[in-house]
Amino acid sequence: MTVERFRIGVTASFTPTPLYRSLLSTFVSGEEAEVLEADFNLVHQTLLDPEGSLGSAPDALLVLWRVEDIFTQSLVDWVVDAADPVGLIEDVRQLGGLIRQAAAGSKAPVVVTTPPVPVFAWLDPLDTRTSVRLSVLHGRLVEAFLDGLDDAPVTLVDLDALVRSHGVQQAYDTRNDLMYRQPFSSAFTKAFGQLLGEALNSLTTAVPKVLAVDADNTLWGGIVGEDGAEGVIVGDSFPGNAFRALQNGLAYQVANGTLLVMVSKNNDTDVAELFAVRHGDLVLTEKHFATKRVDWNSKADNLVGIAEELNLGADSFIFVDDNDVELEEVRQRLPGVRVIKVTDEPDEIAELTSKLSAFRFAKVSSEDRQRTSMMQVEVGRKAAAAEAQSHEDFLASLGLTVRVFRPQSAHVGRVTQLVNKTNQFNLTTIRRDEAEVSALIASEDHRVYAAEVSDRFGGYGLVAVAIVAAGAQTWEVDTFLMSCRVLRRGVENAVVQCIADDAVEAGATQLAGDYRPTAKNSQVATFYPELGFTETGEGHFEAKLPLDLAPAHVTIERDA
Amino acid sequence: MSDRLLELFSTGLGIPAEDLSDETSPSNTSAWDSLAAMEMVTIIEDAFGVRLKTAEIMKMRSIGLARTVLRSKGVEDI
Repeated sequence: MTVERFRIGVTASFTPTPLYRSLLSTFVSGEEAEVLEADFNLVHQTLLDPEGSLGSAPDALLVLWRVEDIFTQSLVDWVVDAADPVGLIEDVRQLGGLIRQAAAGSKAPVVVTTPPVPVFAWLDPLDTRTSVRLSVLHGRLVEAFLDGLDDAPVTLVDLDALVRSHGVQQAYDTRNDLMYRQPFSSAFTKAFGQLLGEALNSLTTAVPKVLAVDADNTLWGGIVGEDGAEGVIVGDSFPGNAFRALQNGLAYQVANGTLLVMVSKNNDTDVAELFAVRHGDLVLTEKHFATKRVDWNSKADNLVGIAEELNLGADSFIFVDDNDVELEEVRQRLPGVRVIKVTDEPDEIAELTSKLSAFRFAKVSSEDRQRTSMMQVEVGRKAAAAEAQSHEDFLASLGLTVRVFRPQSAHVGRVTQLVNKTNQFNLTTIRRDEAEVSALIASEDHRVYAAEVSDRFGGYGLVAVAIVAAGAQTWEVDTFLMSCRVLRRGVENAVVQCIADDAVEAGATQLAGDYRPTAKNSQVATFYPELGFTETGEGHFEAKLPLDLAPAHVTIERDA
Repeated sequence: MSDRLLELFSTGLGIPAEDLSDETSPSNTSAWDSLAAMEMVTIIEDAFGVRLKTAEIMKMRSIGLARTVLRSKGVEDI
């Protein structure tokens, strides 16, 4: 079997060899690639005859250059004697034109650097007599170069941006320049090679088309269903400014053609209210979102639905969420989706959109690449549909443990907090203070239950509370509530099972409970019917004991 | 016995460490060309956390001489 090696042609105004190690390790086909290097600093000649200069026709051509290497004397004359730069600018425009011709005359894609602000070992970069003039000249040179390229379908690598991100002091190494014509430090060389590798990867990899973002603790701090539209953290001052920065980054992506979609476990009325009353604090408006899924379904299911709706593949999606379980379900069930975790560090939140390097080379999409990506999208969609695991399979992989216990005085604070804070998964929304909760815990005819939940990602702490009036025949559930963090995982079934078991043990024959609707708790309207209870009065439900509700994927622990 | 410097030259020159010795030099090793020499400077500087002066680089005309230069800079674990 012969392997066709990918030939990377390189022509450079400096010694490019040290770039190859990191370039080839970043380039996805790097192991099957070989480099054809043109003779040193013969950029013009190579562009006029790539095949002759490189020895054979390349599969991709890299053109790497700096103004001070190719047009040394013109530039020195301009710096030292303030010579007219018109000739220099024209030379740079012509170089751009030459690259355009080379790209037009070859099937091989061309990757080309835009030049950094020139540096000289002998020139103080902070000398304002020259530095300000040099900034202006650099802008004119880059403009002339792009003008010469005339929108040729090349991939640009902004070498000046890379120097800026490292800093001039860290980027250059005069010793290497003098000895080897290799002007860069070894750290910079490594980063430069990586960036070139990424540029080559962008020729064959589709740029993501969809940013699917969570809402609570992603677009804003806090949980709108719990903290209220006025309570969530977003705005001009710390720490809300971190979320504003993130929203600015998303708006920028939308303006550049990315589809933004919201995937949030919330009541859609809460989210709509937030966008209405906090529009002054938010950057994003509802119009920024191509589509939304604000409901209580599995996010992986929702992403599959959005992919079908937009007719895009999983590999077109980036999913952004703060919750490890949501991220893991998407990772497992939709392997093509890139997932990004939102941390709780404001600086990391503010910089999150600056790390979406998959968009780095997005603007230079050629016709060819669009065709490729459209095919990849079609293939990816079918693959994702075939591979998608069920929500049940995912739950089984979570290793969920629910510990149901009778709270003691140490738990009164947390139990009372949940009783007063929980709006959404709350059947009766009866609020009580600490004294009342303590009295119920001590009461002979009531039982208070609490549940702690953990899975293989860690513990969630005390997240569910139930208060039951324990009658001789019928146990009446007075309060049943749960934090949204553990929704849709069978925790509620496990807690009801424990209550039912205790009721049977105490000699009761029936379990009953109420659903009292509020503006926030519509998601539990069908809670009792789904567990097999019968509605016997307005919002009153009953079930004969014993019950068999415990889901197979949950391990239930009871206190001894 | 593991010799760190021979391992580094093995990486930089693409030659098995057992085929290298302190006598290995550009004159008896075709892989040790000017580009490999440049690569070796980066590898040695990264590995030992030193900065080599141009004169020190010029002195490194064999692996043994490279060892001498590094010793003279106070590098112990060569």
